[in-house]
Amino acid sequence: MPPIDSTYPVETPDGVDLDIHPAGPVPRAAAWMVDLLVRSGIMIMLIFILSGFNAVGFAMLVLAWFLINWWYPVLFEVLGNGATPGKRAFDIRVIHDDGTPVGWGPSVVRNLLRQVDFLPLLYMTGLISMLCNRRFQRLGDLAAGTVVIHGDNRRITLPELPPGETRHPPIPLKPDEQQAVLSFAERIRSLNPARAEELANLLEPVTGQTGPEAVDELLTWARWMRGQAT
Amino acid sequence: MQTDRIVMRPRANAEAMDLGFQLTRANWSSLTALTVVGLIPILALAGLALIITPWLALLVLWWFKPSINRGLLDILARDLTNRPANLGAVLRDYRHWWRGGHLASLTWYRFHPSRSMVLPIWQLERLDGGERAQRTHALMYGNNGSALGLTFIAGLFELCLVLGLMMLFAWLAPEQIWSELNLWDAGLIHIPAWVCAVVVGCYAITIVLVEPFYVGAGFGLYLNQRCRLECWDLEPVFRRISERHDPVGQHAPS
Repeated sequence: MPPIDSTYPVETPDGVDLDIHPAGPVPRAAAWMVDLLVRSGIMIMLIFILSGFNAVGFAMLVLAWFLINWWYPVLFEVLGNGATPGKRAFDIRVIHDDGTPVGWGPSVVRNLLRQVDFLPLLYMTGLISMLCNRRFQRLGDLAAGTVVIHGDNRRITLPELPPGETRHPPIPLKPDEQQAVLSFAERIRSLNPARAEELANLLEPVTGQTGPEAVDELLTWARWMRGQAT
Repeated sequence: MQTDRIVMRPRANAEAMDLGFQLTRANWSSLTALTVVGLIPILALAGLALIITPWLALLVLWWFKPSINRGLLDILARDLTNRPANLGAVLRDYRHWWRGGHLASLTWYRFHPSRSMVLPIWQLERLDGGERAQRTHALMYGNNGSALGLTFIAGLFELCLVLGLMMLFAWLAPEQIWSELNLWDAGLIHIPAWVCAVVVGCYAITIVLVEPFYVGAGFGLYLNQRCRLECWDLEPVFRRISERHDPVGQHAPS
């Protein structure tokens, strides 16, 4: 059995393998609540503004309610890179399940079917559907072929490496191995020293050292890789 | 810790919860069976409470959820370490998960908003007193917000399911039962026993549905934090490098 992961692989039409990170019910419920607040806020503002216009104002209010209820998610999803304000707040967005950006048709379908997912109350059907499904799709997503994923918009800041010597590794390292050494060096400050040495000792056949010296050796390699990479 | 059951890498907390959900999905049948079995004594207690006052029964169901959670977590931990994770094995080994802050989790820690993530620290690491408090503080640092959010959203899911199930019941129930029912006149205190039983039943089903995922998500947060702090994801790569380049000296440049 392959190990459990929070991702699933897809192959895009141009033959690139992508890992899709579907977002589960917890961040999606949180995003929904933010969207609910935003929509309610807009409606309350409109009630204040339009209440002075009697019948016309009321008609406009009904129209606005229709637009906000039905088109708010669709417009944001298609024009806003897959994310309503709530989804943006929790760094999730909608895409097609093959990894392409969501289009008008699927977005309309998935949002129309909210009415079904909502039944009998508060998205109970949608919640159960999400839990039954590896990609956390509610019925609307299944019908539209869409999936909500974790965004990749997290700001990446390169942590500073502790200063010191720079030396290239004595042996050639594959890309993922270089990445592991770099990652080790970048996380060294939050790493318990005993655990850092334990990890570095694993590489004793290569470093020829143990304990703090082995850790320092790995850091010198990481600095060399960082220098090469940037 | 080494496991080939899940892919370890540092994740954002929201995604760590989703990993926990996947782990729960993989063990769903044993988790559900255990929740049902664990609910039997609690429901009996709730039945007694029902005699005193209807609302007390719901409180009883809510209050003893952490006891069930311990068994659920044991199943997940067993699965990660490739031990048998079925209902029988977990019930036989109840001593293994019964202790480790159980009393605290039912009293002053019952209201702790991060309890899903605190539970693995207490139950699996088997520390006591000051050591445990220190360890909890270290692992929870920077994660209290996520764990609290998880508890809040799980509460929301419970609300959604309880109300939804009651709504379903209302749709499916024969009509004449409503004609005799007037809850407002009863002042929400002298409620007919069958109404209380329905509400308690809906809440019990909700617990069976939500609790395995709540425990799984908390476990996901815990695993992710340890992976981050202890570089679990790097260990297998380092092992691979040293296996490939053994021994030293032959490959080192002069």
